[in-house]
Order: sequence, then C-alpha cells, then structure tokens
Amino acid sequence: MSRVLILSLGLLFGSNLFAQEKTEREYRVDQKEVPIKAVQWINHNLKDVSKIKWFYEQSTGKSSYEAKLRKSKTQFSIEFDTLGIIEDIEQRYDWKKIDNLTRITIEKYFTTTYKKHQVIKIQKQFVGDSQELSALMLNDDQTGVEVNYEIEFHGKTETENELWEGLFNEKGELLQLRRIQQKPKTNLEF
Amino acid sequence: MRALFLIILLCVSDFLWAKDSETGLGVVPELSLSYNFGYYKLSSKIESFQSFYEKINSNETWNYAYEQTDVQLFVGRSLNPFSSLALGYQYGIGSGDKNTHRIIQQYAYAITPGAIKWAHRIRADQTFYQDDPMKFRFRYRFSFELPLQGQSVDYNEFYFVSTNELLYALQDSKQEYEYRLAFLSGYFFGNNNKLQFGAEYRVKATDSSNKQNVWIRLRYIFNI
Repeated sequence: MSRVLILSLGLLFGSNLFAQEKTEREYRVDQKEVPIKAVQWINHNLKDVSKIKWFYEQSTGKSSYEAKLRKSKTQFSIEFDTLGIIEDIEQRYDWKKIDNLTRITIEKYFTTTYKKHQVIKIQKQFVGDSQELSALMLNDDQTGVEVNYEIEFHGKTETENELWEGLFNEKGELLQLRRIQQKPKTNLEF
Repeated sequence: MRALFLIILLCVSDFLWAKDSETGLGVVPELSLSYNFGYYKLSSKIESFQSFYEKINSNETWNYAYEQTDVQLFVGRSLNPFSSLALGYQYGIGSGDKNTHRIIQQYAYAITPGAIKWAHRIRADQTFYQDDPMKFRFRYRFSFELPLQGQSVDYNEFYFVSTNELLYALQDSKQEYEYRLAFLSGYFFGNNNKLQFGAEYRVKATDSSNKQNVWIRLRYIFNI
C-alpha cells in the first residue's frame, strides 16, 4: 500500500532531477517483502554474517533490493533486481588496499582533474552472474567477475567544489562520474 | 562529559553563593526560510518565546507571558561541501521596550559518514542593549541527525535530531555559563521543507542566579 505511494512520489520528484546527479532513495523493508530468491542467495552463499538489513532502493529509472550486512567486520551491500536476481556485491574498502597500479591511475585522475580532493568512502564492486558471484563468496574465486571501485570524494576545481561519486574499473580508469546531490542542512547550521 | 563539568560547576557555584533559582516552561514557534544561490546562502528566521509557567525560588505561577521575539538574517558562504562561514544580524523584540541588536559570526561543519549526519557549529555574537553594556558570547554546538527510515533522511521521511550547545557570556565583568540540550523529531517533506517538534532544556548560571527552562519547540524550515 505504502509502496504505491512511495513509487508515485518517487516518480514525481524523480522527474525533476538531472541525469548526471546521483539520486537514490532507500526504504527499509522487512525480509518478508524481499523476493525469496534474494534471501535464498544470501543464505546459500554467505556464512557467519551479522543481522541482515534489507532496503528497497530507487535510483533514476531503476528499482532494486539491497541487503546490508557485516561479514568478518567488513560491510557488504548486495544488490538484487526486483525478481531477486543478484546484480552486484559491494564491499567497504581501504584506499591503501587497492592494488598499487590501480591506485596510481586513480590518484593521477584526482591530481590532474582537481585542485584539491579528498576521498571519503570506497566500495569495491563485484559484478557477475549468480554462479560467478557465488564462487567468489564461497571460494574466493574471481573468475568472470568484473571488479570496479566506487569512490565517493570531495573534488575542487576552479569552478566547482562538490561531492562526487566516481566509478573506476580494475585498471583505475574512470567509467562514470556523478555529482552527489546534498540535502539541505539548514537545521544543523542555524 | 561537558554536561558533567557544567553540572559540577553549577553545584560548586551554588554551594559558594546562595543564589536565586528560576525555572520556566514555555513554547517557541519558529519559522525559518533559506535560499541558496551557488555557494552562497541567505537564511532568515523568526522565533518567539512565550512562557506559561514560572517558579522563582519557591513562588510558582502559571501565567502566560510574552518573553521575546527574535528576527534573524544570515548571509553564508560554503567553503566546501562540508563547511560554511556566515555572518548574521538579529533584532530582538522584548517585552516593554527592551529591544536588542545582535551581530553573529559562525563557522559550521557537517558531515555524513554513514547514516548519521553530525555537525559542529562555532559562534561568536555581540548583543547591544539600550541601557546595558554590550554582551559578548562564545558558543559551540554539536548536533546530529538520525534517519528513522532507511539510510539517509529523504523526502517524506521522519528523522531525529539532537543538539548540544555550550555558551559562555561576558557582560561588563559579569560572566554567564549556559548549556542547551534539545531532542526533536523531524519530518522532511515536499520540496525541501522540514518540520521539527521537540523540547529544549536550557540551564544558565550567572553571578546572581541559576535559571533553567524547558522550551517546547515547533520549527518549520523552508528551503527555497
């Protein structure tokens, strides 16, 4: 019932938004509302995990279900489509843990594009089909899995001083850049 | 920790001098309007303090009393996505003809590392009275905003916000210490509107009195 309301509101506001902006909405949902296939995938492929929080996520023109959990102290977020088919796995990551060559390439992008920059959050992203991602989680087998880095950073150029989300491939090349739209924070400032 | 320090301070000062003690209860409706243009921001607000309960030493009175209305205007500039500087002016309309002028300088820093958004604010202000000497105040506020649905506060969602503020004031040679604590629930709706409802507790120690107030706050914030 509330889903319909949320959807129509999402559409209403979504239509005002520009394509290059990062706009996502997440709603906490109960596991009962999540496609059974998604719940089963997690139960099969992830052992010893913390309590799972489920979210229904809407970004421009796309809906999905996301499971957020911790496994051996690392934060994971696992995305499924509305039918419960796995799309990707994201894992919180450290800048220093990124492979040397990749890190140098990303760093080069930062220093040549921005006068000033600061990395805020890094997620390592694994994209693949259900079997490939299953092999990755159970046996640490990366065969066929595409690896990207989703980096949230503050970048300042001559004209812009913004928060960005950049998607870099395994070599460190920029695939996509989105401006993160900040919500008003008047209540915290004044 | 800071609250504890202040409580100890209040107890000690109470112990040394027998002071008047005042307790009050009231409501504060508030309307806030903000407008962003590029990296600049204009922010204004009007808030009105009305009390309906007062206890001075052991004298209790339930009575409506108009306290003060403040009208504020700020011009701010963001330094980066997290921090901003602002200059402001406040006109205070007190009861009788106790009107005041105040100039305010502030630095604010807000960041969202995860679901919780937290913010620091450092302020200095100078208040000009008709008959009394100028008052200098230094204040620090820590606040946080917690989404009650999902991972961030989105449109048509509820949130919780708490602010903690320490104030030090100097007027002539008289000093004042104040602590303010607020718990509010908020609703973010429409195109950048926020509605907040909750309570604020203020405790103030001056040379001659200890004063504590609870203000019921209703705040409407509109970002144009």
